[in-house]
Parts: sequence; C-alpha cells; structure tokens
Amino acid sequence: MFPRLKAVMIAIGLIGFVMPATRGIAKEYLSVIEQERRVERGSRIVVRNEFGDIRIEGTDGNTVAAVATELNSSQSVPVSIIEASSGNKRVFTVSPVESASGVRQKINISLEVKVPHDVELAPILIRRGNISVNNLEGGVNLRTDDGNISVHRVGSPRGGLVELSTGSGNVSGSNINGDVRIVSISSNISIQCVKGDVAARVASGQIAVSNITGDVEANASSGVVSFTGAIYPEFRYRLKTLSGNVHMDIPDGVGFTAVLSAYSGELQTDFQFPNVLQTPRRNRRIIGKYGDGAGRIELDSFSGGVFLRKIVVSSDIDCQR
Amino acid sequence: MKCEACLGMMDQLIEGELDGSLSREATAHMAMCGPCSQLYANLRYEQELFRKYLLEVEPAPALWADLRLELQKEKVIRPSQPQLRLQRWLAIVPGGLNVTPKMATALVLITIGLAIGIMVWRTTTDTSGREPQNPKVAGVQPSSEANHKDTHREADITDRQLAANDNERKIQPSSTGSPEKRSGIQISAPGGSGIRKFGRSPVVPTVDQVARKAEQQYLSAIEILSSDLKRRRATISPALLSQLKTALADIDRNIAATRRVAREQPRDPFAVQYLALAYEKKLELLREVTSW
Repeated sequence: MFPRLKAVMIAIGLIGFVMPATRGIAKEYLSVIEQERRVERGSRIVVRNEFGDIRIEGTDGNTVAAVATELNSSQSVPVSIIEASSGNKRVFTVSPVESASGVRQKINISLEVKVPHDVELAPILIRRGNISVNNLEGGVNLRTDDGNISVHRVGSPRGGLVELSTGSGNVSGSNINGDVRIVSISSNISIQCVKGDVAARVASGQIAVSNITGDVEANASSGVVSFTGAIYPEFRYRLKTLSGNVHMDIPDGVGFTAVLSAYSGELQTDFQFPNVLQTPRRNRRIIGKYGDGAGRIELDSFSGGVFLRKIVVSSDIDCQR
Repeated sequence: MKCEACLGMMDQLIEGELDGSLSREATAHMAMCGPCSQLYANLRYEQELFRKYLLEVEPAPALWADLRLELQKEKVIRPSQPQLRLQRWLAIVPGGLNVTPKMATALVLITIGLAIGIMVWRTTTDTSGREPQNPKVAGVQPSSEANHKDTHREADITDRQLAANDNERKIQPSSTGSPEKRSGIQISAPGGSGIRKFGRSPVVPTVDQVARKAEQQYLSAIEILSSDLKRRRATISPALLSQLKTALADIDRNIAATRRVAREQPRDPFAVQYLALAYEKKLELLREVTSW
C-alpha cells in the first residue's frame, strides 16, 4: 500500500533539512553590502559589472573597497571581492552580486570601487554603462559598447597607455601622463592636458584635443576635428576629416611646416607664410613654412573647411599632471 | 606514433589525403595526445572558416574579365614560360598559403596602396621634367625653389602638388610638336576614353582606371568583412549595431560624395585619394567592430 509514499516522505524531509541551511548561507553572503580588502602594492584589480556603470577612484590608502547601488530602487547591492594569485601577483576581482536574476534585464547597478592609486587595473569591457577612472597610476584599457568613458589624472611619469573604445557615448580625458588611443564609432571625444601621444579615431562625431605634449593624430570620417594649445617643434599634428571642419588654434612662437588641404571647402589661416604654394582652385592647398619650420602640421578636409588660427596663450586651462 | 610524425602528416590528414593505416595511427595518437588533438582541431576550424569565405565571396565578373585579358596579353608578349609559371602559382597559392580574412584584407589594402602610390609617382616623374616650361603655377612665388632645398619632405609634397596641377592643365588633345609628344608622352582628349599612352611602357592605367580597380578591391574587402559581421551579429549589442548602422550610412555618404568628385575629375589623383580614404574609413570601422 502507497509504495511511493516512502520516497515522497524522504524527499520532503530532505527539503526541510536543506532549505534552512541554504538560507543561512545566502543570508551570510548577501549581508556583505560593502566589501573592503587590504591589497599589496602593484596588485592587479579586475572590475566587472554587467549591469551598468563602473566608477574607479584611486586613493592613497592600501585597501580596495567597493559599493554597488541598484539605481532604479536606490538600494545597495552586495559586492563580492575574490582574491586569487596569478604568478607572483595578487589578483582581486570585484563585482556586484546578481541577486534578482528574474528581472536581470531591468537591473541597473552602479559599482563604485576605491583602489590604491598604484595598483594595476585589468582591462574593463562592458556592454552598456559608463566607465569613469580617476587618480590612477599606470595605463588603463576601457571599453563600453554603449556609454560614456571619462579618464582623469591617470598615468605617471613612467607613462602608461590609455586605451579607450566606445560604440556610442562621449569620451573625455584630462591630465593624462602617457600615450592615449581612442577608437569610437559614434562619439564626441574631448581630450586635454596629455603628456604623450594622442591618437583618436571616430567614424561619426567630433574630436577636440587641447594642450597635448606629444604627437597628435585625430581622424574623423564625419565630424569636426579641432586642436587648441601650444605646439612643439619635435611633434607632429595631423587632423583629418572627410566631411566636417578642421580647426587648429595655436599661439605664435614655434615654427612649423604646414600642409593644409581643403578639397571643396574654404581654407583660412592667420599665419603668413613667406614661401607658399597655394592653389586657388577647387582643390585648395597651402604648403608653407612658418618660422624655422620645425613642427609639422597637416590639416585636411574633403568637404569641410580648414582653419589655422593664431591665439593668445591662455592660462585658464589647468593641466595638473 | 610520436608527435613529430603526427604533426608532419597533419595537413594531409585534414585534406583527406592520408592512406587508411596512417590515418588510423594518426587519429589514435591524437586521441591520446592533447596538444596534437588541439592543433588538429584548430587547423580544422581554420580550414572550415576558409572554405566558408571562399563559398560566400563571389569574385566580381569584372575580375575574371580582367584576368582573362591579362592572360591574353601575357600570351602575346611571352608565349609559353610565364603562362606556365602563372598557372603553377595559381595552383600552388590557394593550397600552400593559409589565407585568413585579415590577411586577405591586408593584401587588398597593400595592392590598393601600391596602385595609388605608383599612380602618384608616375604622375610626378612624368611631369617634373617639364616644370621649367610652365613656371607660372598659380600662387607659387619665385622663392619656392629655395624652400624646396630646405626640407626634402616639403619638396616632395610640393612636387606632387605641382605634378597634379600640371597634369590637370596639360591634358590637351595631342597634336604634333606638343611638349607632351616631345617628351615621349601622349595624352588623349579629355572627352575620349581617357587612356594615356606613355613612351616608356605600352599601357599605363589612367587615374580613373586605377580608381575603378581600387574601388573593386575595396568592395571585395568590405564584402568579406560585412559577411563576417553578419555572422557575429548575434554577439553584438543592439545599441552598438544601431550606432554602426548610422556610422556606416555617414561613411557611405562620404563615399558617394568622393566618388562623384572622382568621376567628375577623372584625372585628379587627389580626388581618387579621397575616394580611397573614404573606403578605407569603412574598412577600418568594419575591422574594428568585427574585432570587438
């Protein structure tokens, strides 16, 4: 009689025994709203957040601390920091804990991480959300398919490559010590105060760079490209776009050789070139030497205008690093 | 069987050219050996990928017509040996080289770069000897000569510019006793077929011809990358796809604009360079997204 009853009873008993234990473990885990771990100098930090924004702030301390907030409900979300070893390096992986998998697509978690400024930050790749990194030594590699990227006070006198890629969203960077490379599909890019080379490429959008101590290569397919600030004799400045204007505003003082080309747009310059080859026809070009001709300037637009202007050096731009 | 032996016959195994017993031995070895098995899997994957590309990308009909034409020309000039060599090369290359999509794109870009480079170089060298006959180039001051000596780079750019302007102005219906004829160069009338005949080589492509050829090659490369992107569509976020669509539309507008100018000014190398640049932008973008 009731041959299956025994099995059912055992199953019920097991569930009754296991459930409270599981809840206990989960509770303990979920209670970790804010995580903080001590890290050694030069440790590697991996930051992951597939639910939204990431903000990383370098500090003078020696701990990594993380806080995550669900933006729709303004509630804190547990964070996990997993410590591991890779070679002779300690690796800390920081990520918010996914707690509501049923409504996963609606979750919008912002993750804020504070790290010692001398740690090594692993590349960050997210599908959507903004990435912000401030006060960090060494290079960073950041990519978001859909979101803004901002990088400020990054790098050190030793340098460090800053690589930023975005599908759509704005890119802004300032006070960077090291080379900067930016690739974007559709963005407005603004970079200022860099001690290193800057190479920025966008398919559709604007590029504005200022106060760069290094080579500058700004390329847009459709959009305005501009440079403002002092130029240096040892560096090259190449600003090119197919459709859009090219503006270069520089103070008088350093000599340069300029190749200015505007195929069907206007071409204007405030500088007087003593020896100039200028074609007044459709394919407008000015090739000339100013002063000692040491610096190299190439400005090029197919359907937009090209403008090389003289400005007075302004002191309002604060380049800290 | 040892790893060395197995690796030695890996290609034959993948191509199905290994006889029964050797094939079984190699397969048995790979079942035991992780690295060999991994390598075999990788090679098989590459092979499959390559096959897919070959199947999906149809060469343009113009390519075959050009190839036939070139072969016929070869036949007329050098009847037997080169043709045999070409046939051997054609037979060897697809099997011997592991052509990846990136390599194919790189080859196309190199070819286009070379074609444009040669075109600009030819224009420069053909006209530079005639500069003294036309000293009044618009906007050039007499002291530009001294400036040329100062920086070699600048001189190079200036020469190119002069050559381009010179070329544009001097393209006239050929007549006896013209400077072009004296220097061994004949240029057809602007409204004609646009074929220019230079004294030193039998056929030199016009700027327009080079542009059209380059365009074909760019289109082939774009087709390869587009099909690659199509395959990866599922892995790309909708937001990125939407931005990509917008950016590609912008670039296509630029291509159309530069193409229009290149057609209107078929002898202007700068117009062709802008057209090539517009295509280059599209390739760059597709390459970027497919590598994400």
